[in-house]
Amino acid sequence: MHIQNESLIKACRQQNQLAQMQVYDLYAQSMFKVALRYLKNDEDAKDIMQEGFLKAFQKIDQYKPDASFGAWLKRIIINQCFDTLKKKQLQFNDVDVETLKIIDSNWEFDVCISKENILEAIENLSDKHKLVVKLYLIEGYDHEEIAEILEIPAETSRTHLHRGKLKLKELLKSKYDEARY
Amino acid sequence: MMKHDIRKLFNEDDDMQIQSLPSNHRNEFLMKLKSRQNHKKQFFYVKIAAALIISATVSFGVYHILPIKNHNGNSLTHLDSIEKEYQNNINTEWNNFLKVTNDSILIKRYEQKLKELESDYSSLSHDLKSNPKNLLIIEDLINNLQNRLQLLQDIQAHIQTLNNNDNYEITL
Repeated sequence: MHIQNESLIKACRQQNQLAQMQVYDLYAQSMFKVALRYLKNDEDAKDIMQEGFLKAFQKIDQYKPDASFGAWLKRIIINQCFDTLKKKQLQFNDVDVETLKIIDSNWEFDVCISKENILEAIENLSDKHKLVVKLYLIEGYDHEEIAEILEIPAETSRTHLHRGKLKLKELLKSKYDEARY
Repeated sequence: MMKHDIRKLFNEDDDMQIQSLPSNHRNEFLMKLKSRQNHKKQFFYVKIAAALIISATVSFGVYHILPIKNHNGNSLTHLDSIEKEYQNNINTEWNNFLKVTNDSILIKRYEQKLKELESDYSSLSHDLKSNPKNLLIIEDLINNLQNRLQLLQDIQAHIQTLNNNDNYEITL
């Protein structure tokens, strides 16, 4: 995943098309997978991913080598996905936001629950919970980053994540109980 | 029951599952990349050309269109003829475009782009009716026609480039 080759990025900075295509080839597969987590249609996901690449090449001067290129690119692709989702009127009302003061970092689940079980259960969450849980758990973003991506206050992100997690536990519990009896 | 932190599960990048990209995605991207870059190069010349057209049209408008409008309140016949001329060219380019591709997704996308520009055009025309002396609206109208023509010419140029480089392999 990591480009060791700094000269490739350097060539991209000079808008060298061959280098850009090589970067595309390196990352297209994994970035497509990221986009597919948010856009359910292959064609849409591909278009958004490609738009993201174009945007990344356009502002490649803003890339700083202290972060991995893949992480930088992924963030652009994710932003691109959410721009599209927002156009489809994704609303995060913060009316029902609790002032959640506890730092909620307990993600202890039964060991018999597999990653696949969890991914499946996430898809059954409501849209808002699903998105926040995905950004946190799968993409590994913190609340500051999630707030930036969704353009919502960090508190709202925290509340949605907390509720999403409870809901996720509930879904997995019923699934687990089913399996046991 | 043993418990574990599921965040750790997602830290490991063990996910080998491959989701296959739509075929031809690579060519499509190359085309978009070229289109973006050519656009930059062409932009300078297009700007000059557009500026010339606009200034010609605007002075034309000032001396010819507006007095007519003022005298008999008739429709802007001169602008109409400019529009007609552009429209003919756009139609021709559209037909040429259909001849060089049978990619239905691409065609649909361009159809959509043109439709959006057309609807902008009708609302601009509407504005002009209520404000016939506004040269900025005339400029926008001409720009709109110019953009539509440019869009179709650009895409054809890129299809041409791709066809020329059919067996073109990217290597660094």
